[in-house]
Amino acid sequence: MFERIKQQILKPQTFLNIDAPLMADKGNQEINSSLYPLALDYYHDLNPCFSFNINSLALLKKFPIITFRDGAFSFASFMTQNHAHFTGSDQLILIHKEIEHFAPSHLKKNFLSYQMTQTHRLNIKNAKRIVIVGVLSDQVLEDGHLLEEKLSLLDQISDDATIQLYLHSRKGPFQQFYQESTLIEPFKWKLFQRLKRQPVFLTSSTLLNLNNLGDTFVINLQPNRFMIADTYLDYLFASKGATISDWNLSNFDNSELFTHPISLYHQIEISPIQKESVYPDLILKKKLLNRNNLITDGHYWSLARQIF
Amino acid sequence: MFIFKKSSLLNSKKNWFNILMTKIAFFYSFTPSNWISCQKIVANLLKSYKMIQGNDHKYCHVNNDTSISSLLKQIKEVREWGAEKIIFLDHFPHPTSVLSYLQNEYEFETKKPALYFHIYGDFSLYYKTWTACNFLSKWNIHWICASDRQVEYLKQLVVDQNSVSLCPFPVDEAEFSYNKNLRNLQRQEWKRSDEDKILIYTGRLSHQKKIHTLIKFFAQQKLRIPQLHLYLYGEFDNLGDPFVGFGTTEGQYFSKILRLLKTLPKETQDAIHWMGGVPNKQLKNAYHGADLLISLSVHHDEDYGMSIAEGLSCGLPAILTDWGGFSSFARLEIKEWIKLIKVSLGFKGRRISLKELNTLGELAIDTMDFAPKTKISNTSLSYFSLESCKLKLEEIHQLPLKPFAGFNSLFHNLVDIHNFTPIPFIDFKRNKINSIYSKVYGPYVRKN
Repeated sequence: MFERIKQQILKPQTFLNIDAPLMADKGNQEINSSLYPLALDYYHDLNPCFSFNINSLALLKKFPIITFRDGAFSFASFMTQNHAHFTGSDQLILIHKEIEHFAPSHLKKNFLSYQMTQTHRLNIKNAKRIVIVGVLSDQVLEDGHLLEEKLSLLDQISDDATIQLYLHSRKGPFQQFYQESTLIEPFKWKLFQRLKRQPVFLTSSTLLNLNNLGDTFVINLQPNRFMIADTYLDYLFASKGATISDWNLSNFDNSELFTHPISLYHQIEISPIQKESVYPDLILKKKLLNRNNLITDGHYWSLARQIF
Repeated sequence: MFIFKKSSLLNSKKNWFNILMTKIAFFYSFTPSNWISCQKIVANLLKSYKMIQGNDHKYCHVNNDTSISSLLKQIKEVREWGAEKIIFLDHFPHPTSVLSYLQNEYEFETKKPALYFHIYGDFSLYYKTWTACNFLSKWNIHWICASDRQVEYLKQLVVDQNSVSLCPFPVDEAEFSYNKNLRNLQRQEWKRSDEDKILIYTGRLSHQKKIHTLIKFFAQQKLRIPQLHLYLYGEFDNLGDPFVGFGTTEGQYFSKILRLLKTLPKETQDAIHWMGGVPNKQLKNAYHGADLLISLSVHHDEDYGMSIAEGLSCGLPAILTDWGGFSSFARLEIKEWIKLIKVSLGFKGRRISLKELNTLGELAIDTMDFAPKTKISNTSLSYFSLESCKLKLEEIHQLPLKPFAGFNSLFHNLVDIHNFTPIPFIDFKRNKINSIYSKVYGPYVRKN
């Protein structure tokens, strides 16, 4: 399968090559705006996209390789509803390593998993700038204990490091209706207590234009890959030389991996699926629920979460 | 008996001195711009202004996050202070975010301060926004461009051509000037010997900067001169070429360059060094380690070229496109060391003459070892050092001023087109660049 990836990189058949509306205009606006700026587009030759922005499955099938940036939930919702479109296809689909058990067992030959790795990583103790990025909603904060683990990184930073904070409250991206949050403000309080110094608050435009990030360590307050697996901000900062908290150092010695540079400083590492599939469970839950639209279904969210 | 009070004499002296001083208010962002070159430009312009004697300064902070109440307060203070001149130093936020409030504050004042605008390359992105100046017909206005060709470009857009002057963006010689001791230091850091021949590019790595053309040229030359290396400092971006309808997604240009690299021989790939974005201090050393500066940019905003100015200040000879502000750098005394490569405007947009690039580029590489670095540095700095810019600014500020006579028909034509489409220069029926493009960007290219 790696040979096919090589071919694609050499002569990419990408979403950019077609004018037809493969993606809905501006995608699924409600989900995208709740996730902003995590779900903004970026390009590499393996067609990165989110399932919730796909407008035409017929057109999607024309591309030999696609990379889903989805987290476990939206990928599970999409796949349980649309797996028939991929049956019998030789399309190659990449999903994030941490959600690889969500790949349908009967389509295993179509799937590989990926993760992003960095050619150089800074120890947080040596970082001169810490950027904390949090797009907060109750759906994010369900995993508060994981977030607290992430915040424990702050105990290691040097006294003269500056802390820049982008912390915005949003509707749960996969909630049907807006509900007032009970978790966001208490979480912010915990965070500020932990900071022990005055942070610099960033607006979106300042955040998206940060430069010269070689001395910067980024803590992305998404607790795991359940909601989103590959964020635009991780891409953006890594491509400017920052160290991303959840990523690893590149592994050049493993012959079972295929690697391809995404920027000057980071690469995508592709490997065969190893974990056992939980897909039969997902299908069962879907049948039990008997709903048409799963992506904003609170019950399906809970069920998929249990499996995750 | 008259009792002489020393303090009152001092105060009165101070008052007389203050009366003779020109009161100048500066509007700019105290927080640095996202564009690294603009951060340096604003800081250096301010240094040049501060060198001018006999002025009293007031500094006003305006950026995207400035609240209206803070802006109104500052404008009120400027009026009460009695500012005679207001200078807009920064490119962002656009000065018109201040102008309407100024207009209100001074509505009933017969004597209004003169307004000076330092013009940046992004002028062309904001035609619609600049129309706000039309209501300033009772104000004296002066435009300050950074290069000869930008002066020509702007003169074709305003009614009163005398309202446009030239002052390059200054380089601080304390930060960038030639120091022969730095070469070996940098070569050691790069792990390069004295025999290696090193070309350097600094700036954004984007489509309009023609990094792909630069790499192809380098690959050709590498076949001829095996000890050639190319060092690129800067980050990739997704600017594309929006004026001619070429948009790119973040990461797309990087992938294009990666694919190009894979077609090159291994030795050539290994001789191209991607250094990323680095702080100013490292850039100074990098310029000193190199033998030749190269930029084939045809960026639409290339009104000046701050990184070029800094490289020349460090004594580097250069290969540059004859486009926009770059041509101003080929000062008469060092012309043979600054090779300008012809750019023409055709039906597909800007086209670099590959013939000139090959002949002049080859010549530049073959002769770079003999470049008189001290002379290149001194000549360049005599054009755009803090001191020489101070002198130019002094001259500009003595010029007679007239009320703003407005923009002309070409400008309004451009505004109309921009209102109609975000891709202003494409003739969609014929699928080629339209005639207004050649008119607007005509001044940016060599005439013959």
